[in-house]
Amino acid sequence: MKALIYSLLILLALISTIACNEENLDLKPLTETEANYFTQELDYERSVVALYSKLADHYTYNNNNWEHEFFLLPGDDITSVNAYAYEVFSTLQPGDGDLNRAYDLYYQLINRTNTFLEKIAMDEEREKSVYASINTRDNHKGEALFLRGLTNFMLWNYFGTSPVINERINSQDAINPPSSDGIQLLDQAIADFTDAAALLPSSWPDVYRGRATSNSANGFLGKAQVFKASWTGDNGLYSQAISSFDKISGKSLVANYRDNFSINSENNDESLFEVQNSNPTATDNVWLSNDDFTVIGTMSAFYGFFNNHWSFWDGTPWVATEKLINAIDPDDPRLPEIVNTADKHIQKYILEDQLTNTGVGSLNNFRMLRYADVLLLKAEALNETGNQNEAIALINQVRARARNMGSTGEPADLATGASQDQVRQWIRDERLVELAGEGQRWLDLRRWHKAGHINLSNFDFSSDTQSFNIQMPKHLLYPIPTGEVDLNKNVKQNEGY
Amino acid sequence: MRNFYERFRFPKLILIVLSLFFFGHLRAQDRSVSGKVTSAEDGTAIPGVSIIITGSTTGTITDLDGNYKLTVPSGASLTFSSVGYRSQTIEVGTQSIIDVLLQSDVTQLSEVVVIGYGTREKKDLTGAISVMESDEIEKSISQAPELAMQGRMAGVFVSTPSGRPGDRPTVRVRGVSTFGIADPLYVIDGVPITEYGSGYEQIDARTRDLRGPVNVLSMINPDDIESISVLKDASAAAIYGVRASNGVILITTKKGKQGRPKVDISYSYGVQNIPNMYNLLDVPNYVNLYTEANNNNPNFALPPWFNPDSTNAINQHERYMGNNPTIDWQQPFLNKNAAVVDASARVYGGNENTNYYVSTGYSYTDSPLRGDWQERYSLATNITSKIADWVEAGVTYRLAYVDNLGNSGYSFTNAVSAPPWQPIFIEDDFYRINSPVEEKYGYATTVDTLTTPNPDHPLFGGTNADAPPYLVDYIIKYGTETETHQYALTDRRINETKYNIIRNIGNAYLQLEPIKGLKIKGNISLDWYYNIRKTWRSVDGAMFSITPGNPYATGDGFSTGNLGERHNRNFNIVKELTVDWLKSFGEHNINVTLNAMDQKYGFEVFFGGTEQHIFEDPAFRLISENQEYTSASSTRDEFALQGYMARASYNYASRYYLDVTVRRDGSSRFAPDYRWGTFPSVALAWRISSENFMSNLTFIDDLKIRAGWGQLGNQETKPFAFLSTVNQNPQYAYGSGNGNAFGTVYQGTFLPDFPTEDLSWETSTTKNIGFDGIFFNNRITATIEYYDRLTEGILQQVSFPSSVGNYNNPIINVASVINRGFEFQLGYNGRVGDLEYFFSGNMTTIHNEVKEVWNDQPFYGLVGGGGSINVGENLRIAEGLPLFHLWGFQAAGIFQSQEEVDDWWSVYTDNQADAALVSAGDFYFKDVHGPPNDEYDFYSPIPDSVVDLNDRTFIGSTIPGHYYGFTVGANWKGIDLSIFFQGIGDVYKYNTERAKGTGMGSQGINQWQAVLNRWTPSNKNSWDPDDKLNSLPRAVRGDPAGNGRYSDRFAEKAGFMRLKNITLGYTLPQSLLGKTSYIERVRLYISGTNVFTFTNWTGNDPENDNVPIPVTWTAGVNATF
Repeated sequence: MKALIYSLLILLALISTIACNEENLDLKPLTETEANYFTQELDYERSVVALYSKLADHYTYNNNNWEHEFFLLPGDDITSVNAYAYEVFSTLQPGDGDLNRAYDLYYQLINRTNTFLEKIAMDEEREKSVYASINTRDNHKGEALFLRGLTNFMLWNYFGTSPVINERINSQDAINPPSSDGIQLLDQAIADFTDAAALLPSSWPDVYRGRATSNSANGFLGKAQVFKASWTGDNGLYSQAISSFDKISGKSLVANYRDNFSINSENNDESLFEVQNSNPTATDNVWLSNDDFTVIGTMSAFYGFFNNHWSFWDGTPWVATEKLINAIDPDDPRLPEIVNTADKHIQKYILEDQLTNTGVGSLNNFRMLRYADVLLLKAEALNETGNQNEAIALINQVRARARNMGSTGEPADLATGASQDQVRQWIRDERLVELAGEGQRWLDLRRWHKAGHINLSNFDFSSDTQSFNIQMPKHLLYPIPTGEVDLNKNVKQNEGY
Repeated sequence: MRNFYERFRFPKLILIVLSLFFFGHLRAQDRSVSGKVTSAEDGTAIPGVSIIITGSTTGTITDLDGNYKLTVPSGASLTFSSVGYRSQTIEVGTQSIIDVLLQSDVTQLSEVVVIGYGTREKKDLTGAISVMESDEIEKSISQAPELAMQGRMAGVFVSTPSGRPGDRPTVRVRGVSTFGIADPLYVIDGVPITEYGSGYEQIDARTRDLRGPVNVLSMINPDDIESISVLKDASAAAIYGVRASNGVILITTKKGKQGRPKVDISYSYGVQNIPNMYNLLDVPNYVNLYTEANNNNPNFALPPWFNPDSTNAINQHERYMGNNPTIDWQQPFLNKNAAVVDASARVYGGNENTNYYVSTGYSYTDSPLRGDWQERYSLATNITSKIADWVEAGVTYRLAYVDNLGNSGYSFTNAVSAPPWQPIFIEDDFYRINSPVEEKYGYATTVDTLTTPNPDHPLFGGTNADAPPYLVDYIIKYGTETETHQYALTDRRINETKYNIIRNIGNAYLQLEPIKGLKIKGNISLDWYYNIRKTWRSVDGAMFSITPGNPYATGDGFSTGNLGERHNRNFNIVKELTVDWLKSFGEHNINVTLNAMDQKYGFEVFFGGTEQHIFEDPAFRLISENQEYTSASSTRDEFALQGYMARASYNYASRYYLDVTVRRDGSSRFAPDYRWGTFPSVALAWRISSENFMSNLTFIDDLKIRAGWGQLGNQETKPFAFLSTVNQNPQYAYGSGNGNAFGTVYQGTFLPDFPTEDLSWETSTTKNIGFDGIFFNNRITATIEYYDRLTEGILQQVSFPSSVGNYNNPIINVASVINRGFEFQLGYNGRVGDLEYFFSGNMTTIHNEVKEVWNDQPFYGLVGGGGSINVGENLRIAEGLPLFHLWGFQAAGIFQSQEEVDDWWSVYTDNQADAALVSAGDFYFKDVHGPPNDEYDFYSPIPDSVVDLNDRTFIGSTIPGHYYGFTVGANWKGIDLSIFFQGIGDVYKYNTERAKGTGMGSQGINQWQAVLNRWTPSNKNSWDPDDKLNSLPRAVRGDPAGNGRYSDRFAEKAGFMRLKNITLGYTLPQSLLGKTSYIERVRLYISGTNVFTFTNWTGNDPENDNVPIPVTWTAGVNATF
């Protein structure tokens, strides 16, 4: 009996130490959760940083899986003997890794911008905004809209029919968005750029250089309108584009063409928008993703395919086409800035470059839109609306800048009084030279084909690979990647794939 | 039919062996014999003992008082047998009264089996439990206790991970039932063991890195293990509820025993060697191959190092290398006769109140490849004491310290791929003249560097002190496929990764027995281990790398290297209260166990490192106080689990059994409303042999039928997946311009998740039916079992369409998988004179099938990670097929001429090939499917004349269809011999090494000699579907026809049978020891492990091609004093 009593006492003691308190199961995650976030302006500010960083992912080394062939190879300015699908066209498959990656990254940015816009809307409904200044909130909203516009613009150009998504998807019922039709994506881009232009500041303080401005938005707005006009044949849009371009203020061509690709003159007067490539606080580890690793996730750009850097394992550099080399007047001061005629290596970004501390990535910002592009697009809009002479004057501005770098007087001014077709040809030639190797060419070619100005079926791509084989209209669009068509029953594959 | 035969080949073998053991009868004159049978232990009479005239079926049984009477022919022998006792055979001779003392048989029915929260005699088991004892465990030479189980137990699959010491084996109990974490739960002396990184968190590469490569279970010295029980079905494992769906492995360590103090000492020394190497091309054949490959693709020019016309100056590189000597990269990597040393000593004893056990061990395992080893010191002690009649207390403590050097990195991978002219040592370095710095280490470098002063740096007139003082450009010296010099990187001066792990496992209990049969036990267990990783990366490593970076970017530009220390602390605290009540009412036996448990476990990591280190001597590798280049970070994770368990067991006269178990668990991983789950199980058993009507069947000593049903959980999923977390990793820089290219880096945040609030555990429903039998006077033991385990609600990380744009894919309880099969276990032991011989074997069959996945959408199981046999492989998961199957194209033939190419392409299109470049000598592949349509979501079964991704099909299952192990052995006058085979069958693996070694499309990775038989116009290999290995295509750079695509060309049978262990021992006779009374037993032995492997696998080793499993020969001694 004594044993029993003692036992009960000890048992009570045991129970009191061991007793299961169910609250022990209420652990906290190691990081902040959405429910408690977006409660101060800084939370929003940091979220904007992550929007830009997602865009930058397209231009990184990405652990040997850079995706630059996706946008650099399909045109007639760069080529490679290696049979890259983007060079060959006919071997392009929905399962292609770069294709899937590019698509994933675009939609991740769409997701981020939509989520951010949802949070901005939440703040707009709050009794008291967490922002000290509503102006800042508008700027942030403008940045998100601008980046979404840019993404929709890219999606339309490359994929054409992928879904338009304007809201954060957070229910399993909404995970199968349908294909878009025709120019829905482009229209959405135009709408986003229009809204963004109204919200963005015309410039930022120097410490924030590189963030989107109203100039960035108006520049891309005009560009998207020119693209839509040439795609749809709706000439009225050219006038809208001109008025968008006219809203750009304080931008000019820099005196030295090379400054557009130099680490020493990033975010200069000619720049409307560029990807801010840099070195993370600790190390630029080009094998690690920016989203997965803080302080070492890569932030740099990659250009090793131009100069056959050791990190470009393929060993078949992407070189200037014969066509491009022939298109540049030997006396044009831009020639050595664009291509080394000895080995055909592209010189942009390489001539004044600095690698990050691991020796692979570059600090050199990838330029997405610069004023010379705007001038030539505006020239195109003017030409299409019958103002040939005004158009020629703008082309000549670009040529004059080039000429002024040298002493030979080339490229000379184009004579006024030319026909619309002649001016079209001049614009095509000038864009080939001025924007060579900047990832613009394919976007121009496909819309000019659609407009009937050129025919890509028998176009001279000046490709070095024997496997080159393009089919129209199939290859006006890339295939919708397997990561979408295999999983989304509401999405249709592009014609021919 | 062939498959059927293959699957059952093994049981047939058993039958053959068995038939050898049945022998004929004797016949002679009759006489009468009587006597009494009593227990040798307590002298009580044993009723029901079967007495048989040896070699006949005639006999009788003893009555209630143990008496018997029987008529026997003269010259006969009588065999006395009874369940729970060792059989005895006695020659009758002229005796008419034979009284017999039967020894209780601890190895048979009354053997005590650990079942979790208790023990039970083997005859009373109702669930599916496999057991192995210390005598078998001791035979394993590995530091990892898991490997001791390999091939020994039905239903338990253990793979050999590699030849590297410290690697983790994969353990799978009855198939693979989830595409998440399929590792069983380990319970050591009642403590459920956890390890950060072993659970779902391992899908994150960083977590795998944090976990490190060292198997922390090797912290348990196998010499300290008394027994290992594996709980395989729900009725056995339900007591572990939410953690048990992949099976539970109970490890019970040795305890003190009543009696005078005893000392066990054991020592062994062994040597390991890798038996096979790859046959690789020499320089002339290598140059021929790649010259041909380049010439076969008009898009490529011949690279200069293959081109005899390249006559660049030596400092311009890009020279013809075809005149260089061939370098053997494999031999230098071998660490011949790598040592395995194991020494341990144990002292144990006790009196009626207190038992104690103290043990210590030392173990050293060198790697058969350069650069790795593992050393372990271990201590273990336990004391149990009866404080009063009704109070007992005990403490167990276990401490292990492991040093592990993990420098080898990639093992044979680099050795096999290196161009054969790439030198290892400096004296072979063709470009030596260019880089005198390499003299320091004696190795050839992989790159030549061009160093130029950096004008940005203050030393050279710049202003940016953060900029590296020198800019460095590189030229890779031996062609684009120059390999990273892994040999140099195993040199501890250049590179070091070292682990020190200290593990403490302690356990204390207090047990009260206020009323006889009622035990109340409070138990606290602590497991704390500390894993330190120290790393050193010399800046000189850049010279041996092919991704060198700028060494001047480290620290202030003049640092000698990077130092890092990472400290992981794992903790696991379990508090339990158990009530156990045991009572018999006549023939009714009742046992009730109640348990409440609270567990908290997790880890903390602290990392410190510096880029700035200025000394060369390894002794000074400490992080200095130089703040500028020093970094630190920390992280942690925490989990909690609570459970309540009740088990009621009833049996009537050890004849009818019923076990009912219910466990209720709560896990911190899930949202509050989905946190608690209940896991019931029930088991029935009927010992038919206890029935009276069976007593005539005297050849049956014991026969039991048991059946069970139950449910188990698997909680291994991403914690907090029901919440939307904030990711704070992204960075972006604003403000560059005007000469500043850096700008200022800002930290960003985003919401990566797509939360699923209703997330809960996976549930396995298990059905099990088994027969256990003992026959012919305990000579034969057999178990046959059928199991069926359906796992539902498998936590699938689903892939939403890309356009959803979520960064982290959500995890949803959707999928289900079934595993079912048979298990066989058979033992036989016999004796002829002084010769005892035995056979034991087991075999398991598995049918694995995925029943359901999210949206019926096939996907690739990238989660298989860590510890999986499928690491890094893209293995498919689809309904109706086994988990992790190989999915690829089917090679159909080789074009022998351009006409054949044209003919084929006139009918088909292959969009995996570059049509312009396909030529004779290339493969063509089968068109078996068409594109998806309204009826078929993923591909239609109607061929469409287009060979594309839709035409991939099932080309093999990676889950072994069966696995087995068997031992034959004998003892004779102190000499013992055992031969143990282990094998798996009905399994395929994608031979990535062969795909790489015979691909012929690269820019110059070295190839297997097999490619000498490649297709050429003068060697027109024909396609032989039965000899895919020798059906090689032509060599062509860039592989435009897709010859190397993922296809059945490389899906190989990976079954094997290994002579796993052969041991010959000699126990010194008492006559020799008798003079020294304090020596009780001395046994000397030699043993071979992995002695020979029978396999069709064409790689180096069917289990690991990169660090192959070595052959080990060991000699040792065990002694008891």
